[in-house]
This record gives sequence, C-alpha cells and structure tokens, in this order.
Amino acid sequence: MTASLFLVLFVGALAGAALGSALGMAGGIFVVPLLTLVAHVPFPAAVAVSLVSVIACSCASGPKFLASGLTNLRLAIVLEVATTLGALVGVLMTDTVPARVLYGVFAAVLVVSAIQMVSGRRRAVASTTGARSSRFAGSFVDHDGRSVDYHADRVPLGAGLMFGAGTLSALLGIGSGVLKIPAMDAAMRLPIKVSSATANLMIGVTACGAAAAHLVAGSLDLELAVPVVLGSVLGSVLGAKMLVRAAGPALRIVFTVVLAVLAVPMTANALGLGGWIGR
Amino acid sequence: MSPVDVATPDGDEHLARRIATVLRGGTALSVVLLCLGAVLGALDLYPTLTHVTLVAGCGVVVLTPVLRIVLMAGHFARRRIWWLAVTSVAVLALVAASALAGLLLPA
Repeated sequence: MTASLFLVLFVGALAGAALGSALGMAGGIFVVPLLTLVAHVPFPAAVAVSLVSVIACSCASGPKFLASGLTNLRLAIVLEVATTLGALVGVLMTDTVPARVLYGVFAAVLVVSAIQMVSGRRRAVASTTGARSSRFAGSFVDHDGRSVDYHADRVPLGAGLMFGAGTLSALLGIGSGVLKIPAMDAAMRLPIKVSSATANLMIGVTACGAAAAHLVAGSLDLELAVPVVLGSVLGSVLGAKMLVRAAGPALRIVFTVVLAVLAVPMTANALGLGGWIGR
Repeated sequence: MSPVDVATPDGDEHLARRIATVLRGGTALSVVLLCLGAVLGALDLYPTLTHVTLVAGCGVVVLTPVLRIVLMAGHFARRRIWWLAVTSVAVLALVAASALAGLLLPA
C-alpha cells in the first residue's frame, strides 16, 4: 500500500467516524464508499474491512455512553439476540447476493439515512397503551439535572426491526443505524439519548460475528484494515469530544449532503454504469 | 415480576463500569497491535510477524464485544437473573455460529 493511499484511507475513515460519532452513528456508512470508490476495492472486501471499523467505533465511543448511564444494558442484550441472528443470516447470504444488488441496497440506505437526518429524530412520547415492558425500565439524569424515567414499548416489534438491521450490517458492513434508530425511537419509544447510547453498544456485537466470519475465511484485507480502523477509532473519540460543540444543524446538513452525494456513484454501480469508478 | 428483575441502578452501574474498562482496554490493545503491524509492514523485514500482529490486532477488535457479552453473562448469573444470563449465552452462541459460517465464505 502506498503512503498516500494509507493517508487517504486514514483521514477518510477519521472524518467519517468523527461525523458519525457526533451524530450518534458509526462511520461504516462512509467507509464502504471510501474503499470502493476511492481505493477501488471490491464490494465484499470493503464490507469486511468496514465491519471491523464499525466494531472499533463502537468500542471506542462506548465507554462515554456507559459512564453517562444512558445505555440500557438489559434491553441491549435482548435485542442483540435479534441483531446477531440477523447478522448470521446476512453472513449466510453473503456469497449469494450479486454485488450490483448490494450497491443498490447501499444506495437506498444512504438515501433513507439522509432523509432521516433531514427530518430529525422523533422525540419519544410516553405511551399509555401497548405493551410496556417494565423489565427494561430505566432512568437517566438529563443535562438539566432532571431524572428521566422510561420504559421500552413494543419490544417484539423492535426486535423484528433489529433482525433486519443485523442482516443489513453483515451484508453492507454498516452499523445499520437506518433501522436501529426507527426501531428504538419510533417502535420502542425510547428517549433519543438512550436509544443512541444503547444502539451504539449493540453495533459492536452485531458486526463482530460477521467480522469474525471474514477473519476466519481469510477474506479480511489486513493492510486495508489498518488505516481504516485506526482512523475510525481516532475519529470516534474526536467526534464525541470536538464536533459535538459545532452547530448541530450545520453538522446535519454536511452529513445529509455527503450521504446524498455518495448515493450517486453507488446507484451508478448498481445500474452497471460505474465503469469509471471503483466496483 | 421479581424485584431482582427490575433494573437496579447500582447493579447495572457496576456492570457498566466493568464493560467500559473492557472496551477501553480492547480498543487500546488493538490500536497498539495495528500500529505495530503497520510499522513492521512498512519495514518489510518480518512478513510473518507482520501478518500475525495484524491478525492479532483485528482479532482483538472482534473479540472485545464478545468479552463484553461474557462479562454480562457472568454478572447476570451471579445475580441469579437467569433469563438474562441465558440470553447472553444465546448471543454468544449466535456470534460463534456466524464466525463458523465464515468457513463457508470464499477466501
């Protein structure tokens, strides 16, 4: 690997992880396009490297959320049954789905993520109907010092969405925030801070099965993994400390624009029009 | 509903602190190994050692969340919250199954 490619991948992964971390997402959604479009890496190889970087992001930023008391560990472990089962299905599907289809699905995920970013996160409203699970009751201290109690609603529905998130994660090498966010915000009506913190922890376990599969298979490009993982770790840490002070709306606009721009070449690849860009 | 099933801040706070320690340690160790592997690769003197170091670095990244689940299983078992302990073991089994499924993937 040339020094310039190492630097490009390191800085690209750092920027993606920092931006994602500041907005409560992993950087995997930027890593796969970075590898396929810039480094011209085949899609399956890019997915393998991205999975490892997603785990690294989760582990690097996890302690911050755990220290703040926002992570619901019991809910996380239950939902992880669904995500890891979905990831197992994704691993088994890996060699059967054509790369063009994966590019198309990835482009769709980029577009949906951009729309979600523009529309903003839904604030959880306390539900008086539906299945409320006291097993996952929790509380946290909000920024104004107020203690906030919450329950998780409709856990089976959330688990179903988490299964899909796990499958997408294994197939596309992402953290699947595009499904985890609506699962936790809308379906389970969790407070935004709790859903972000809990989803961040879950991303690591969701991806580690699929990443282990690539490591066992020998299909993980270790040379590519080094700059991407190192950049992702540093970006996750920096994003949490620095970018959160930047204007929230400005960050959302940048994030949305980047997602929309990346969707174009990914769509072109899906349609077989990407001869001049990486496959 | 048993009182022990309700999330007790003290019990889960202790677990959360231990998990945070594991995540920090795993991240730090993997960064050290990957940096070492990158330097060895740049020197191009010890290809086998370079490969082993990079595999170890990526392996630590992958195993860190696994260790987190092991911690949780042990924690819930010690507190006799058996349904969560069994759930944790189920997650471990699924992760192991995914790893074994890697044997079916092309290299």
